[in-house]
Amino acid sequence: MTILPADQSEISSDHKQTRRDFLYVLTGCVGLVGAAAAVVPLLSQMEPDQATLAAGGPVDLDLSKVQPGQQVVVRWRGRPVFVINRTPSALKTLQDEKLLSRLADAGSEQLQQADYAKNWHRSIKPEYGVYVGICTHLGCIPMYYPDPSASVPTSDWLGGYFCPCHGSKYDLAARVFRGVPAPYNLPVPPYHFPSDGVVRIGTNPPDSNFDFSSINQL
Amino acid sequence: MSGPSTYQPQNGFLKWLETRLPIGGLIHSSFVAYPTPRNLNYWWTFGGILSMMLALQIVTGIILAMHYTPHVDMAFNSVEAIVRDVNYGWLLRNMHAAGASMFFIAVYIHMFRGLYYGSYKAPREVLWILGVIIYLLMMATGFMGYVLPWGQMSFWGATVITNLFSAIPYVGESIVTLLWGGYSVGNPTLNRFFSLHYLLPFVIAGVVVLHVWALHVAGQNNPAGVEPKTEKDTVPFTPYATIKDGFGMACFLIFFAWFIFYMPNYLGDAENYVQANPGVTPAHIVPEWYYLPFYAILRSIPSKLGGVIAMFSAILVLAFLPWLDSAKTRSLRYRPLAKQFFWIFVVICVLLGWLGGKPAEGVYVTVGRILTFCYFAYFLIVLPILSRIETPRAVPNSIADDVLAKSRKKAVASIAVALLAGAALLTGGVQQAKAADHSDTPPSQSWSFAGPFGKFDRGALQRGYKVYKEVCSTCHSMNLLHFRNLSDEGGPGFTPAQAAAVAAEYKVQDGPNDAGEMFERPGRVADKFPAPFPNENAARASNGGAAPPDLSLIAKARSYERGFPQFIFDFFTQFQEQGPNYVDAILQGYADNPPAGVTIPEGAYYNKYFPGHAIKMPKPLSNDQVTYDDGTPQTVAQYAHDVATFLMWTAEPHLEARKRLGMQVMIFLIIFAGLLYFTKKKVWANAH
Repeated sequence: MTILPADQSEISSDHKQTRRDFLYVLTGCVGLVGAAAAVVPLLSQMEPDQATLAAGGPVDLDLSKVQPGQQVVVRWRGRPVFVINRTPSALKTLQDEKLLSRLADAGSEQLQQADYAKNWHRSIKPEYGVYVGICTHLGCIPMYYPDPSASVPTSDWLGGYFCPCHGSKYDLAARVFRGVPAPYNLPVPPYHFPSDGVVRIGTNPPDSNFDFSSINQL
Repeated sequence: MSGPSTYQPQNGFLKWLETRLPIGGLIHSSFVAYPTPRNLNYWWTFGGILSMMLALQIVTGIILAMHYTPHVDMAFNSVEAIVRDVNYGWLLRNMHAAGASMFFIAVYIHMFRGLYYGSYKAPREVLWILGVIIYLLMMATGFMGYVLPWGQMSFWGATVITNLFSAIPYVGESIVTLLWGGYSVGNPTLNRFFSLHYLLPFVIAGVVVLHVWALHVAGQNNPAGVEPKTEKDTVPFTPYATIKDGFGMACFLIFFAWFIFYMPNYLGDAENYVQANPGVTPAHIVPEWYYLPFYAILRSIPSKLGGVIAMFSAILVLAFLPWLDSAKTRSLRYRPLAKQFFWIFVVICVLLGWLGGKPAEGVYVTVGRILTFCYFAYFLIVLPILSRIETPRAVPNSIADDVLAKSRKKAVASIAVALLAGAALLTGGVQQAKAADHSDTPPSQSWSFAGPFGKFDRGALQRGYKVYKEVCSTCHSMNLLHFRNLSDEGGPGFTPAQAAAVAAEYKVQDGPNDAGEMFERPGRVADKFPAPFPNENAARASNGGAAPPDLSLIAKARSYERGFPQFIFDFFTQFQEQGPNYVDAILQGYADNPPAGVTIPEGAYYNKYFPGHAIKMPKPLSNDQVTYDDGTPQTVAQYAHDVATFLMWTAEPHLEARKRLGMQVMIFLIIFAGLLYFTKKKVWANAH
């Protein structure tokens, strides 16, 4: 048996100690990496599956079904989308100072629509309005009251949408009123007109790459 | 769980918690300071492996339940939707399905270990009985889980097993009605089985807690079978047992991953890729491999009630083992006679498993009866007598003595060899059980998607799609394939625009419209391929009485016997291509004149590879029938090869992803297991 000088044996045992610690740390780290990687499929499986994503594809509507003054509700990605055909008098009202003074965001400054719908009628063609029919307050479906009325659904009604849950009001361009619980205008989904008589909800016009998920609130 | 705790929390919060809820002390005394015999071998790691498997089954099961629909019309397709559409769904489903088999492999090893080392003897009787209860619960859970995918074997397995209970006098019929919730196995059965299959694993987890509690009261048995006497006989659970269990688990995970990523269908039955059909019983109904020994015992008794009693007794007899074997010496290491009988018993169990996969006829019945007798004789005759007459060899004085006198390497190796041979025989039984009617075996083709690095040949997929579209699709539906799949990664490589164009060529029924009428519109990528016939009866009526099967899963729903010893090599070479070989062979197997001695009925055609040779489908392909644009020869052989490739893809669209991820996981696990091995060596260096 070789007797090592005291200091030398200390060095060698120290050296051993580090090597062993390194092995422990390495094994622990590799184990942690494996555990972290294993979490990926466990979480990723809760994303919408391929069938659900594909079912969220664009939806076409034949506009001959939407006569002036009428609204047709299309279901897109599980949500109601209002397609309305506004009458000339309704379009006039949209520019009426009396109405504009009551709106919270008359100029559509909040990101609730693509650039192609950031105008006084919040749409591509003035007569056709396309809006996601989900109240920006708490998600109820606002009701369509197109005609001006003194008392229905509220006093001095100029025509628009009225949410029965908490009384939020929107005009016929789905712009929200001041002094109601809803914070934003109704969103405009991506849409365009592939031909004159058809509206396609779910895809932008060819010259736009608007990302619908970038809007303030759905 | 073992005496007063030595746990001294340092941290202020832990001190505060400890005086209110001594959970730290409980964990410390149970899993850190707990003294574990220092001579435990690797057979003792299976307890930890089983805990891991239970946790994995529960996690993957909860996830599958998020996507599964327990309804007879939707269950089968919802499982396929998990595999096809859910992110990593194929992985989670393979883990859960193969996990069940791994769970049983581990539990059988755990049980045989207990048998061999006498772990059921005083003071561990309750521990052992709790284990038998867990095993019974596992069998019930496994059976009900197998019903959920609602394939042919699911349905007929459920029918056969529930009918077992009708043998019970007086109350049998009522019990069966309670299980079914109807006049036969149907939607109520599926729903209650789903509910119970979700419940039972948590019951198992509860009994496991009792099992571990009992273990920590009595202390672990060990290969020498002598109780620890001094401090020198034991080591603390952490780090010694933890790191050893960790290494065992990592090795087991490698074995598990081999099935998940490379052999997902090796232990399953191809028939279960056919949706349940209450009107057609498969040619051979075979339970999953882990029930086969008991299935053999059931069938060997020529009486309905007798068979059921024998089958349940075969499990229940285990619970009485502590009193049937009264020998004082625990470990069979020191009981030469009992040791020999133990290995004979292992062989009997394996042979019973093999018989369970055989048809119940002729010599198999006789052999089955002899083996059933031997099975019970081991417990009721051999063990009680041996424990009275055998003179055991001297056991070591202490565990420390046992560790010093070690020359066990040979024994471990021989046990491993014996177990491997046993497993091989058992799989042999399973494989043979899958044998269909005897027809010519399809020749093995060379497939680009075979093996660990397999990938689909894009050209073959595109050509195969063309053959399918122009020929097969006139009669066969493809219900699980959507137009969008054509542009999926790992598929035929269409662009999304091309897939949309293909979809638009089809007319798809939609509706009702505002007027309440159904209408036709151009297909969209989200649509599935329209079926050529509106329903199965129409398909049958138009095709001479035989409905053309849906082709989505055909490459996984057809198989053939590989035979001994080929199936053992198949495990290592990852051979999984029975389905495409069969499809390829069928398409080329037509002959104008059947060989002498074979008569083909009117309206059927001779096919060399079709089970029974009389196929209702006329020869579908001839040379130059489909035009290939890429200069590939337009022969029947090429068509068959291409369409079989395409059908393999439709049966498993994520095959490439499975093999790719498999390689990554395998490399990681091997590195991790290696690191754990060296860590374990370092840790144990101080203990020897």
